[in-house]
Amino acid sequence: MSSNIDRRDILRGAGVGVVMAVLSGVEPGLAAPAGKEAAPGSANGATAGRAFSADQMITELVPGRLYRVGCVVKAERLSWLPQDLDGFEAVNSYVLTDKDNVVFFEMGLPIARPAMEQAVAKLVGNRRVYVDFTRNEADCIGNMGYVLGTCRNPTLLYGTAGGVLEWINDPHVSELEVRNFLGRVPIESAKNGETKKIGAMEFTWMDAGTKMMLMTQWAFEKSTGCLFTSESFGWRHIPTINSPVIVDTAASLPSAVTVAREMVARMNWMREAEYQPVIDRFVSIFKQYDVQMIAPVHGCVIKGREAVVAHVERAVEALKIASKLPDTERMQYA
Amino acid sequence: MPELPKDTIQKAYVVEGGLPRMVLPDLAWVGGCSSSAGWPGRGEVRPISHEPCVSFVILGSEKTLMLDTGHFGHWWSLDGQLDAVLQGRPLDYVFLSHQEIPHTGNMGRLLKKYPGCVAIGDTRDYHLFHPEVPLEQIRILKHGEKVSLGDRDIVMLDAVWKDLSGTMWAYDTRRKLIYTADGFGFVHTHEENLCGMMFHEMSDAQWKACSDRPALPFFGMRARDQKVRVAAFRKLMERYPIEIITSGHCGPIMGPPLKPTIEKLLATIEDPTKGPRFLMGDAGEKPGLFGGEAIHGLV
Repeated sequence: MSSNIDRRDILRGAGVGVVMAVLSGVEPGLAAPAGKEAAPGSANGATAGRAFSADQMITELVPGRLYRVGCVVKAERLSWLPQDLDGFEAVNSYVLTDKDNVVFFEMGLPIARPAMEQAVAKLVGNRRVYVDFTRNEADCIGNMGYVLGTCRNPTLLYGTAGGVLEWINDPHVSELEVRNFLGRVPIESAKNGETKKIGAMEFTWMDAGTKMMLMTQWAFEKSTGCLFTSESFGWRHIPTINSPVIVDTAASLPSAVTVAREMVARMNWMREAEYQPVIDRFVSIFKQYDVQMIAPVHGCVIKGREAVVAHVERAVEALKIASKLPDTERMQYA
Repeated sequence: MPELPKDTIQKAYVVEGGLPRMVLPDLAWVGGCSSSAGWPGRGEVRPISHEPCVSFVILGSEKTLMLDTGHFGHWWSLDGQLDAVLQGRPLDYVFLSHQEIPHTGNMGRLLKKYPGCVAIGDTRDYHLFHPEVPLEQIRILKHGEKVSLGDRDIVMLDAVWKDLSGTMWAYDTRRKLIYTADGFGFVHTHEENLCGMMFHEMSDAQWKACSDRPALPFFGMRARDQKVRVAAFRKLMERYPIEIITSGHCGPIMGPPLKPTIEKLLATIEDPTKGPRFLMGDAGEKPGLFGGEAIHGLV
């Protein structure tokens, strides 16, 4: 539950250390934040027997405009992988800024909360806050309650479906705030087909090119050329904790078969299915928009036109292979 | 923006029809409905759609188990409903059908309320949603694996139709009850006044109206041959005979309406040109009677 302190007054202009001091230890049972910015390669948040995370940090993708906010987890026990990998996975949310505005695009998984706290402390300042997401699942909205409850006068950009407005699993946001949420936070439309300027940024929303959940969006931000692809394109993993979370080359792509197997680990409807119109539309999105960066909620960010083109081509190959893969659940009952 | 009444969540996530209900001495029905009337801009839209967002508690002779956690928005009532049905017993297991808020959004709250409770199913990812929960309390079980409640086993089954990739079903060997997550979910309206009512308690007209509106939020359904999947479900029924169907979006289906409901839904799934035009599956497809949001249980 909230204390009587208005955290937004405390956080205004405060450094990370002050933020952590205010927030740490407030709610028993909540995983303790890192307490300080994680040094690259350091392991933190790893209490014995609990989920592991490391490198809770903000990574600049476009100077002064686009940041990746997140951490690294072990590539195991993840439903979007066909099997555990001997490596790690970047889990991501994104923040876009201009001098007057800040847009939290995907709020990420709860395990990346320390990174999100850093982002709020460092990137909000006096900016007007917007919040957006592609899909109402925990990997996209897990820290939404924290952002909405901490930032002053946020606006929700909303284009998918309900349910999201209640999953504010954040003990720092009082029940009263949650219950009255709909009366407190303005909601602006962000439906498929809409384009909206927010200061120097311009967002266009669309139905996801590939998806598992019915109500899933992608969004293209024009000033950065960044396409936010939700769970799609999440198939670039990292071998070590220290590995970069940005892929900016067309080299060393995983095979199309490997990518296909990962695609169907998440989008299992593709197996034994025919979906040429989906593939055609997928291709058309990249013809319509000058995509210079692909930003998924997990996996590496794909940066640069050359890298984007190569990954899209690999994805299209994989989509064709995926349709031929067997439906193992059906076969359980054959 | 117009002024909204307080406690809007309670107007969007309603509990009507006398829930919780003890359906059988060892089976409790808990939860409520997602009501379209509670959402911005929808307050005056009629009819008011209700999608049940429910779960069930099985009271075994030695242990108890909850099938899904109920919707996060219902916790305001669910907390007390659980006290009422458990009558002082702990909750030993919670089966998580898939990683979606209407079904498993209360996992953290449940494991905090019942510290000895273990979450089971295809529980990948949940450690990222709830980093505060010890990994030993989040147990991954695969198809065919089971837990004992004393007088019965609860068997994990691969779902024939999946909402999300991690979707599993669960089967109670004593009651021959299957929990199908999003399968066998049905939508009604507030005006029909069917909250908390099971099919065998409805009139024929009420049953027909309700069963004409299945909620099948399975993207990509139409891209696949559903005949083979219906055949797979029939094989499942041979191996795991069904006397009660439960889902996250309907009350228990049992007694005389059981078989006709199953056959009606399988016919709809097999050939979507027949029966209700309610299947959502393809990008750009027009929503059914209650709109895409309602179909997905997230009004």
